[in-house]
Amino acid sequence: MLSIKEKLAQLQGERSAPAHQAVQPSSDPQGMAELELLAETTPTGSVWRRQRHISQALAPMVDLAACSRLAGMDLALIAKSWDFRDLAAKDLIFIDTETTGLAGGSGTYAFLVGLARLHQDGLAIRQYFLLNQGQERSMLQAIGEEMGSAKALISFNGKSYDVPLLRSRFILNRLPFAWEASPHLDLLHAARRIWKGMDGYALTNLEREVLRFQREGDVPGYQIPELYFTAVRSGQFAPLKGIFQHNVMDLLSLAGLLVHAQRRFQLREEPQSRDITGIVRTLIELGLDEMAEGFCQSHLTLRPDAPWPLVMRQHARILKRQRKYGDMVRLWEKWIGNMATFNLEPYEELAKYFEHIAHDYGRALQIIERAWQRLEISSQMGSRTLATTALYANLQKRRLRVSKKLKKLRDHEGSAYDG
Amino acid sequence: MNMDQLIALLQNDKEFTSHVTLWRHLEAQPAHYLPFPQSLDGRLLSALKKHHIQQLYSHQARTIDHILQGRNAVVVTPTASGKTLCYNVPVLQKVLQTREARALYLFPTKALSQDQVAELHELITLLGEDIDFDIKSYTFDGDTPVAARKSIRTSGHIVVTNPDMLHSGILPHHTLWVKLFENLRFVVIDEIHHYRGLFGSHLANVVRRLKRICAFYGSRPQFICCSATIANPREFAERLTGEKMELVAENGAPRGAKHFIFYNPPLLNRELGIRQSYVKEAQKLAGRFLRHKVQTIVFARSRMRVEIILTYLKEAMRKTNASELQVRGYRGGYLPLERREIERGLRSGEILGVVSTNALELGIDIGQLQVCIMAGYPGTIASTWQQAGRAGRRSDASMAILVASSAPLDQFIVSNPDYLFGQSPEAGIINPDNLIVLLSHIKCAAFELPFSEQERFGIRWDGSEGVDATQEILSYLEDHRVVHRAEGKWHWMAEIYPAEAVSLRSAAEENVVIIDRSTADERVIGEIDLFAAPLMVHDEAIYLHGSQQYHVDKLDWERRKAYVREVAVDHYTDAQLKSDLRVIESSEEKTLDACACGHGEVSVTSVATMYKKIKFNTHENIGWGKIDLPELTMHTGAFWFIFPVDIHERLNIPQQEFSDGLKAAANVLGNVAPLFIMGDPRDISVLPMMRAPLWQKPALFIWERYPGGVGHGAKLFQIYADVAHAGIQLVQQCGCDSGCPSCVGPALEVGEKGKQHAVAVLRVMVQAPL
Ligand SMILES: [Zn+2]
Repeated sequence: MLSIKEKLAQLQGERSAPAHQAVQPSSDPQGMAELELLAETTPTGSVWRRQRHISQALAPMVDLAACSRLAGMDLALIAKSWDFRDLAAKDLIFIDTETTGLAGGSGTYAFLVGLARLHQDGLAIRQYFLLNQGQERSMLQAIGEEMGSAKALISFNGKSYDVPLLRSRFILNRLPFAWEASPHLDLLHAARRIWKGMDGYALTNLEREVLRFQREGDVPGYQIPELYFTAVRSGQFAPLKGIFQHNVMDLLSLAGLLVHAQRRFQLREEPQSRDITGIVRTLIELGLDEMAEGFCQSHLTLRPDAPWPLVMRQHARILKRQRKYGDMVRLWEKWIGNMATFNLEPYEELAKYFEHIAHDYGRALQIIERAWQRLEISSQMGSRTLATTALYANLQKRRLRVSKKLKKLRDHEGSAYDG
Repeated sequence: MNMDQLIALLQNDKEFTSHVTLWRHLEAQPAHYLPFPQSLDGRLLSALKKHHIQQLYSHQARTIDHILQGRNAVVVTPTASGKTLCYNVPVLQKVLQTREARALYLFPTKALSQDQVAELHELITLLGEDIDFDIKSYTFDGDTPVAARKSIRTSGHIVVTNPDMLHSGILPHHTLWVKLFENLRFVVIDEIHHYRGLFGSHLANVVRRLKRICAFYGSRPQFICCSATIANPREFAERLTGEKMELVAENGAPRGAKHFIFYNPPLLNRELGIRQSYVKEAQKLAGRFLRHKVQTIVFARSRMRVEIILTYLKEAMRKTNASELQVRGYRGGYLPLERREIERGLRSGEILGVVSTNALELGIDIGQLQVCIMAGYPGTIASTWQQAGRAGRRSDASMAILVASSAPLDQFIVSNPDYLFGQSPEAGIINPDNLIVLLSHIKCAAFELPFSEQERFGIRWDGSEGVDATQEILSYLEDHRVVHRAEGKWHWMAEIYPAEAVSLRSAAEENVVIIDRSTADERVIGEIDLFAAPLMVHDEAIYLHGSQQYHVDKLDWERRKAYVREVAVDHYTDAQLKSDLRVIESSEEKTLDACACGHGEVSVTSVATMYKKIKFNTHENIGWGKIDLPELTMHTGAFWFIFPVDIHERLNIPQQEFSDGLKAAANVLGNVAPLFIMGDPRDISVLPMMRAPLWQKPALFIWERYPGGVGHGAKLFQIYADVAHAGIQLVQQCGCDSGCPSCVGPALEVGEKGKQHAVAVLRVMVQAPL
């Protein structure tokens, strides 16, 4: 009679079954020492932890001192949330997990959870390591306690990845999980706003383009699960060193991105991305219209190379919302004054304003005529393209409509006068 | 035309009646009522009354009572007997008592679940007038928008889904469904007769996983199952749920009188058993009824046949200057809105006819029709009754006509009405412990929650039973680097999402796809299972699909693809298969004097060796070729019957002729067995052997065509005599002289006396011990 294993092997069409592997005792003192892991005994079991203090000297690419001085307002701007207004850098906890896969579902474990807190003299990192899955509960309890001492989370893609995963792990261990509702600054979301228009928002991209450094000898993410599985199955943990370092780098980059994001709001950053619409919109959505307007103005002053249309459009939108029409008209005129190549937009915006808001059809018509002339000048230089034809058509349509309105108004005024 | 006129019309039609093999008048039956249970919530009672439900049918009252007493129940419900109340009432009662209570409804198809939710909504709306919170019911399936999912997870009182979604979308993400699992009180599994064979074996394991997760969150739901009439509803539901069930079998709903007619189309070729096309006969009948303004539903066995019949009927309507919109098609995937429109049209008389696949046989309400025509036996007795129930749903007299095809099972049914009208012989059979199925689901379960080193998968709520092999399977998974043992538990340790790789409905990856290259765009015309492929679609084979001949240009074995093109030739091909079978493990054996029988695990090896080209009509052998394909091996379940070594002498038949007789008997058994195992003819295969290894005696093996088997072998061990008996009936009633494809197979294959000897062999099986 065949054993169950033999039957399974036959049913699965296996030529030979893999050798049964004896369970390895998960103790590797030498490996643990190399990883600088220390065990702590808690009431529910062992917790393996590695503590590292990253001083400024150790991380020259990140201005940790600046990071630790971030104020609540800075954080609120970066997070686009007033939840952060009363917080300080020391209230934040940085979180980054290394997991057994991207498939999701309850079979995915977080085997390395890096947590970091800012201090005046650097970043204090604590990495919790799952030596074997039987110790998950005690590890999560320790993580829960440490997270509980902070007021807000900082992560990269943590809203859709790390936090849901941890929640799932906590539930699987029947532990309460309270961080879904906590203030959470997800730097992936923030980066999309703040550095709008970049090619991609992978952390490595942001490191290269924003933080201006490249990791050397980093463990690629896709190798991480298998490295962990092999370590656990063999009981040899030293090869995981690279993953611990990878996790430290992730946490450091979070700090770096915070500093650069803050600088961007203060116009103190090199323009990696010239598109400031995300920033202006953030300010507007937070109700900081004055600041948004100031931002646009300073941006134009400080950055003569700034893309005019983008800044102008944002700035004019703020002015329009605030009904500062005089300023708005001056702004569009300023654009026209600075315009090297023909752009219909400022004319169009002015014409719209005079037609629909000011109901000054005469001035609207003047604007349209000015645009027409300017277009003729610029189209004499080049050949008449399909695009210029469309512009003419657009202007012509507008001219006819406004003329009609003007005539109607005059007729009406005329008849009123007659009467 | 009313029913009496219609009956008179048909009875006076000599041409029609000459092909009727049975005309049975089933008397009307009055409703049998029982009072509402005492404990029923007053608000629910008044909602039911507003819903025009003044009393409960007896089966509803009994089921509701069992559930309210905390027991599990399976209720056997014919079409239109109000089965949804059987579960909606106890579920709503519980939600009224405990706001947090949750229920999970499982339906085999999406269309059905949408309809049942619509009905549930009506009741909830009526209830809503009297309660101060919302009872929420949602459908959760592949079409559910991502944005809606979160609120379904947390706030749906009643979540309606299908087994596939539960398996791959809900259970692996159970932490997102904490609310549901912590408060799950009921699991409703409707239409359980659909979950037979492989699908059911999978579902039983999905239920095991569900119960395991419930236990983790501290809930212990009751099970409510509904089934069409089958031979073993209680046993079947108990195997499916792993829990003890109460059976409610007597139907209290009223039934109108019904005329049930078997119509066997005229025989065209006696030798080949070819009859007038049943599709044509069915459409002719339907056309005739529609002309007389008789509302008719026609069921066909495939989408293609639905199209053919529909086209014919629309044309027929046009000829009589009636609108072709009076006939509508109905296939799977129609939305409730479209169905409501058809239903409205039928009520108002705007729509006269509906042509449907079996999608409509499920409990979907499309109103009442006068006549149901089945173009071909629907495949199971349960389906036949469900389809027949589509006509005359409440109290009027109605008619159901079964038009038989020349397939053996159709012929058998129309010749043996007792199988349909008596106690159903169809058993729901599953094997939740099929090792491959079990392995798949223990994998999924380990992904969902770690296993302890003492745990047995699939325990009952009382902690009993469970799969003995659990720990060994986990150890196998450890060897394959899927799980890892740490501190007394088996943890998932792999990067895969196991549910994704497990399909509940088929072992589809092992099929050969047939691709037609006749036209510029390659078109997939069908699939064939791996074991049958070497016989049917080897290089140079003539493959028949529908009524079209195809030549197989190339069988790409590695890629599991057969390339064919349309041809019209005067021959067919017949491939020779060399099969060998070896018993690996016998589970049960019986000695029957000189005979013996048993069931257990076998290993079947087969290799196609060569094929012959045979000319139509003359059966001349006009050529042959070699087939060069690898040998296939399958480990599976089987039933076997061993004859004494001198059987031919005892039967007084020359040895060679006995060999033909054994082959003929094998064909017959293959034809009738599906009737008993509620399966598809492709689920099993019968192998005659003159010298079975182990015994060195003549034997018949009925082996299952799914690796590991789904329990058919074990079932046949119990009922083989009934199957053999039915086989004798099939052979004796067949009008052919010396064998045809409708009974023992063509004489060319089984010899001139094959038909006669098959009966002798089958009789030995019925009468053993000799
Ligand atoms: Zn026959």
